[in-house]
Amino acid sequence: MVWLKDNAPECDVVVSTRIRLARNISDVPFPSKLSAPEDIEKVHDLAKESLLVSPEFSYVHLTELSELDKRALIEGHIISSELASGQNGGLITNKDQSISVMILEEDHYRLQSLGSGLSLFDTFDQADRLDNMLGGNLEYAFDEKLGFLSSCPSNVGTGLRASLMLHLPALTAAKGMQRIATLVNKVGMTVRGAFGEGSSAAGAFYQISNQVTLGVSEKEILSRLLSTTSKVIDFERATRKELYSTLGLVLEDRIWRAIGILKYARRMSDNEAQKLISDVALGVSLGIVPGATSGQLYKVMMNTRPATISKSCGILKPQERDVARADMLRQIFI
Amino acid sequence: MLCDNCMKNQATVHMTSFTNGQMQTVHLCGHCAAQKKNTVVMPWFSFNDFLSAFYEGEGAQDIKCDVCGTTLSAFQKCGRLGCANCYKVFEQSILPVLKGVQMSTAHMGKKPLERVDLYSNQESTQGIKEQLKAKLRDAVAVENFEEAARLRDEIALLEKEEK
Repeated sequence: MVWLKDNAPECDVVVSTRIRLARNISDVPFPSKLSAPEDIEKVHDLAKESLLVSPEFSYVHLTELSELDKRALIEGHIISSELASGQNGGLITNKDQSISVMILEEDHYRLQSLGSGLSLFDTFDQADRLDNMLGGNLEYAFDEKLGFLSSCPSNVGTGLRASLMLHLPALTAAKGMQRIATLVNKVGMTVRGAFGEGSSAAGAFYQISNQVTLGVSEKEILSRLLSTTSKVIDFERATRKELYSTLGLVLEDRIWRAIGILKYARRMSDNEAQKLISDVALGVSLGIVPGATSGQLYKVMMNTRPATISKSCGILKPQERDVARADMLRQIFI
Repeated sequence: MLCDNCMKNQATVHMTSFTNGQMQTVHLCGHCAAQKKNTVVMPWFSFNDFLSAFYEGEGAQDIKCDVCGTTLSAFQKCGRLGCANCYKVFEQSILPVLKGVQMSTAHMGKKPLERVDLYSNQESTQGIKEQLKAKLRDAVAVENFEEAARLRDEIALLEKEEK
């Protein structure tokens, strides 16, 4: 995760920002009805022609990637499992993978931009530039009334899905997530576990994103997500303080024990690592653990995810991977 | 209509929920609704929930897109359209669903090749409308439907003036 910064706005709670735009070409059938080889090629070629003029971008056809490469990209939220399992997909990314285009996923193009911490406007701006770079070379499926036409009508209009990855250990511990989810749902947004669809959020990481894409401007979508998230951030911070003042030494003990395990363990599962790193990040934000930032910890967590670690260490078996993860963590938590 | 819960008072609040594609409407009096509010979780409707709720049991004849060959029944099953033309062919089926899950059925965002200006801060009709819409959402959230109806009409009036 090269694009993740050590220190970013509101990074005690917000891990990262993700902007995604759904786009299609006007005169080519959408992916579910796309079978003619020349049409498939056209979708790939138009994207390559528009974007590869810039040396920062590179292209790969999904069939050229190994299973491990694909899994690592899925873990990094660069591609979806839907794209990875298909035969026709392609991917264009910049060097640090903070900007990418999935070719022939649910739509012809899924443009994505990633940012550290809470940076909705800047991250959107990146995606907006990319959108115009791509759109300058082809005609988008666009309707004056309905906006950008997407394969699934739930994305029609702006085609914009903005999401924020949040670290909410205190709200999770205080059993407040159900209430947060209800509140967020009422204003047309959703919260779900950040790691995999419907996953229980190990380490209390969640994704909050807009549901409504039509009848609102991009700015309104972002502003509304921002104001809702700001409330969640305030709740989380207040709950953290409350938790610390109530638990005191009990909480400090838990956090220092987490560091102890990270320092000395010889085997570590992904789930355990996430939980422990989540505890340490909480300790950092409360000033219990000095000399680190939450951003650094998130980066460690992302870099020790299964496929990412397998790729960097060249190890595939789960048991060996757990040993490699523990080795890696021991070097970091000195 | 009497309240479904106490069967005594006149029902004034009508709550509709979708669960697994099944639509359920509960009619309650103000008193029972206030009690129920803390227990009932109103889910944000997913597009597919709406789609299946709208079409379940509807035996109308199938329509087919003349460009890509997608049929209405296939779209209802998988929720995906085959091409840009499908939006015109299935307009009558898509619009009511969009009305349910989206803010409105009129695109308010950028057009191709436009740049989105996130930092300008002009107080226009647009701004006023956005504030009204925010109030409308709040009114709906606390189930103040009278206020919500009034706000909805006010927004519609503004939209008319714009045209």
